[in-house]
Amino acid sequence: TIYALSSAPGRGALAVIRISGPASDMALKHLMMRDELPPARKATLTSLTAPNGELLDRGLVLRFQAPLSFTGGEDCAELHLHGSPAVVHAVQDALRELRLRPAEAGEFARRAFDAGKLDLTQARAQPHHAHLHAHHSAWLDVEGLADLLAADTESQRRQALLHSTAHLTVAFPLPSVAARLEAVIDFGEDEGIAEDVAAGVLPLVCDLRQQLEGHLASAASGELVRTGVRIAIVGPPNAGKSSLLNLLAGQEAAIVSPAPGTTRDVVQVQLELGGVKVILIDSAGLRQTDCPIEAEGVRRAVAAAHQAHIVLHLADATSGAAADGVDSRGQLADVALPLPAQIVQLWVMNKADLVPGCHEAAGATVPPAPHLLVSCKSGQGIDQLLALLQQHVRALVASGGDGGMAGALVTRARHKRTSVPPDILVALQHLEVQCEEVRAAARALGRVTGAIDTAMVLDSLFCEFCIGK
Amino acid sequence: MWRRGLSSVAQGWLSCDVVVVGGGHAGCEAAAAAARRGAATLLVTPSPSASIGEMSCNPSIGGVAKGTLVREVDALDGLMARAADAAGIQFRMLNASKGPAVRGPRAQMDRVLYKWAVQRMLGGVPGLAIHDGAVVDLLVEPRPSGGGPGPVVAGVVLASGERILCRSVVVTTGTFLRGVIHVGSHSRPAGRIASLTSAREASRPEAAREAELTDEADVTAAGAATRLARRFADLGFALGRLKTGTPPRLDGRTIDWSVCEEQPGDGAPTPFSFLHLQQPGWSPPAGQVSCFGTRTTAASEALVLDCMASGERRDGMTVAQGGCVEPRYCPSLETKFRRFPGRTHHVWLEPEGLGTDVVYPNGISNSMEPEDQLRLLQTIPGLGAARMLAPAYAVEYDYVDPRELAPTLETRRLRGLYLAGQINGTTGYEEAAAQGLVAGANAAAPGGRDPLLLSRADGYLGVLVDDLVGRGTSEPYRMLSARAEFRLRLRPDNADLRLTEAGLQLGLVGAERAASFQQRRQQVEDAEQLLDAIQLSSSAWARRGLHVSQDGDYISAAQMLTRPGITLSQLAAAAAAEQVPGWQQLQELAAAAAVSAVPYLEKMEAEVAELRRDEALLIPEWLDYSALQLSAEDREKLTAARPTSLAAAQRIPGVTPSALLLLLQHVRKRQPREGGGDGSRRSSAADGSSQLAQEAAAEAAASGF
Repeated sequence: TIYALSSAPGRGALAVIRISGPASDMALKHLMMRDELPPARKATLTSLTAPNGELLDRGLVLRFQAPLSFTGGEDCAELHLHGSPAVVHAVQDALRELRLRPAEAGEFARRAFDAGKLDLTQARAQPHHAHLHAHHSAWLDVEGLADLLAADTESQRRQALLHSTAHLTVAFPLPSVAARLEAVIDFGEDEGIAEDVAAGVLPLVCDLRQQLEGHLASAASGELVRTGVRIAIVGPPNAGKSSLLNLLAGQEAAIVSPAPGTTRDVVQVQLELGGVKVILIDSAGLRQTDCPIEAEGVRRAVAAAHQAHIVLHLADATSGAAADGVDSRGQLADVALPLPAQIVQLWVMNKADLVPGCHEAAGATVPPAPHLLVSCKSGQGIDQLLALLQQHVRALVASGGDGGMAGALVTRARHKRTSVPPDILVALQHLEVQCEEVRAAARALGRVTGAIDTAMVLDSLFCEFCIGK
Repeated sequence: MWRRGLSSVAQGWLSCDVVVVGGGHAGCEAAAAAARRGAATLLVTPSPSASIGEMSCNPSIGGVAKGTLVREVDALDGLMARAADAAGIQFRMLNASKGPAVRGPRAQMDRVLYKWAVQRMLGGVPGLAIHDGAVVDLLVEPRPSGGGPGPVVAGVVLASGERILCRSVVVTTGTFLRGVIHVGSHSRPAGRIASLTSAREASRPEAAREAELTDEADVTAAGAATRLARRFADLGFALGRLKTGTPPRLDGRTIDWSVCEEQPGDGAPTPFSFLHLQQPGWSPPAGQVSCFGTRTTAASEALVLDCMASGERRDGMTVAQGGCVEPRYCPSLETKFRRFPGRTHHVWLEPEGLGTDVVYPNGISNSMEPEDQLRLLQTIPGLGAARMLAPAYAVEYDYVDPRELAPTLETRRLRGLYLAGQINGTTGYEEAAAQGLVAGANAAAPGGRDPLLLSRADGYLGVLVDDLVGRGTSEPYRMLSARAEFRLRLRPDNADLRLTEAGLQLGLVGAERAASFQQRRQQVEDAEQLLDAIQLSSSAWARRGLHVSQDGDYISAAQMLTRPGITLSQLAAAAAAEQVPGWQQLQELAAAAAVSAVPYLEKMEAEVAELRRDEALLIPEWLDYSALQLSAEDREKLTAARPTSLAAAQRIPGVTPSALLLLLQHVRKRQPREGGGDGSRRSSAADGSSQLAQEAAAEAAASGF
């Protein structure tokens, strides 16, 4: 049973994960923590839960029973999630834990074909259908094909990774690693190529793994650098979110007024922090409201928080709730939680200048730990806040973060296969079984970089060893 | 006895079903396989009793991957394994310390015994006649009566002018297509020098006489094959040129064995043939001897480099530097020293037989002047006083680009024409025999019905054919286990379980082997049951030194085998100590040790199922790729490779997923879905241990392997 993100990678309002295979129903039951299945072909709003009991997201689940499914011969399901990379990751992790595997490029389409279910012309996106109808039908097929492939998982990821990994085949000693193992198997006995040649492969494999992980991480953070780190400022109305945005951006990007609820829509400002592109997002204050316009603003604010890398919770130090940080957090919790664990959350209190006795404490963190007292008016604590943000932004970029969805997905999907676990090389006694691991790694890497075929391995083998019987 | 078989050729034959051209390893298997399938078959070769079953190069059969090929040929009732068992004078199981999938049965041969064994077996094949002659041309029918594209072969023309009409022709001319032999600066057209290999000056005068006869036959064959080569060129076949070499032959009585390292054979020789494996207590009928080893020295290197510098041919190049490609795994000594300077190289001293003193010094093939070769010998310990019976030589020859062939080994250009062996760019007796069997079996099938088509998942036979027809080759192709992606399944010990059933269905397997196979299959099933039946409590296993978690449950031997590091012999010892019923039988079950690779095998089974599904999606041979909306690059690659199935198309490097989907759609239109879904096509020759593997796999998964 396979799964794949079927909507475009990156941020969006929705992300759709498609599942196909006999274990689809099982996976749904586990995610929904229910014994009965949702009705087929009807959208069901439900909580999705990881096998460890952690809540992943609330979303829509669609179940399709074979043969009335995309792949025809198999049960399918679609999970419509919030379009946050973190949510998508978490759900994919959960699916993998349930022993589903990521789909290969074109695999969904392939399964649909095999079931005789899918005609490519039908599969084409409807809006373009009429437009293209005049064209030769074969051309139509190709169009549909391209759409399908594009929607069908890995090709985008591969695209994203291609330029950063194109040189890997050359740089990585995988053919050489394979060559040494194969040499011992095929020629060891006659040519006196001893097993210590194979043992010498281990450091190479470890080195390879390190390199590979480095490349994947840089592919991910490369994406993060390209798209920018998103910082959302959220908090109750009139906490000074827009003031903070204007202050940090150094421009009047958002309208500021003393009236609570001034900001209705999401305001984005792009700036640079420590050499990294950052998108600062201001949004409506979080509160229960009967005004439909403000309610929509709140909804957007919550969505913005979900899609951010860093959420900066801003509270008013003078408000009653601010006396107790837990409450000011609780106020947000009512409306917006849960935020996925991957999002960095910072708690900051504004209007330090209005709190008597707080002047000298401004800029210092007050317990509980993550709180920072600032004043947008006096500028107190702003330098510290900037330093704190910069520190988190750098850490995100260095770690690859979660914003580099493409890279990170690859990291996750490939991790198990591309990194040859050295313990396997040590633990198993038979060389040919060890070699099977390296072959699997070569196949996996080959899917990204272009195939590493037997000819390459043999080239490497005959370069390195004099085979002469 | 065998001579009578050969001489009983019906002189008046004007027509038969299949003509096989050539009596080498490919030709013999092709002729026997075609006849086994019921085709009236004629093997045509000059001086049959002299040339059939000749070993032109090293006196050895088998090895890693090659040994598996021999077993697979045997599983389909071919000749090679039985002949090798009859003629083997030193048996060794290579990689014995490694897992069962990569073990390689190999044996040194007595050339004369081998030749006799092959000729005796051929003489006993019903429906097979042998004709003394040389085929110089093909009869071609430009427009077939039955329709279908392209010309069809109609028969052969012999040097004598005789014409033989037939339905199919299998050409197995080895290195004889425009073959040129170089000994130093002297060249002459020929495919081999048989008198070298049987050693004119050896102690047995009758062997020398036979060698001369073989030489005469070879001269005839060379002339004929050159005319045949012209025909191939005229038909438009893409031809290439390859080179290989063979070392000098030495008089063993003049070698100082005391300074050489002895390499004895295995104490308990393992036969090649499953028929012999089924005979308890089988031992080689021929006497057993040792091989010996020595090494080149720095002086050898200096001499060879010196000779290369001075010994330029008239055209300015030595053969080693010449235009043709020599195999990288069998380089000439010149190449070894040039590419790996500053090293010494192995020289393996292999006796050529029991009744001869001729020794084959493996590893020093070259094309130096004979006097330089003598000086070379003097630089190698043990060979200082060795008498050179015949110099080393190199041979250049034409081969047909195997991408001209369908997976049946029939040429696409000329229906009914099949090619097998070195003519397809391969090297090695085993590779030749394997192709011969495939070509012969298919040549016998009327109208291409019931072809013998083996997949990469079925055996090395499938890998060999698929590599050749799919990718072609630019150097002499040798089978390596590295080429088999399903290596863990394709064990030499289970070749019969993989293939014999398919052979039975095609009528390729005779009654004797059928009976033996049924017996063997029963034994394997019994073994699986035994492994499941032998159970000990966890504490009992622990008592015998095999530590498992102490939960008091009973654990079967099959389950124990899935744990890393536990061997069958350990289990057998524990079972014996505990006196579990069946412990005696357990000790005989070495092959089942492969279960330790179960998680990998399980993964492979899934890949195999996928492969079989894609192999079932046949692409019409004359598909017009320009009519499909493919990218220029995809179109070019597909047009050049002409894959026969979607599986083959997927293996063409660089073909995009979009192109594959487009192909798939096209194929689907033509080929309505059969059953659909997965698992609809399971191999009829399924691995006998797969059930066991699955059960054990479940256990392995549970124990967190």
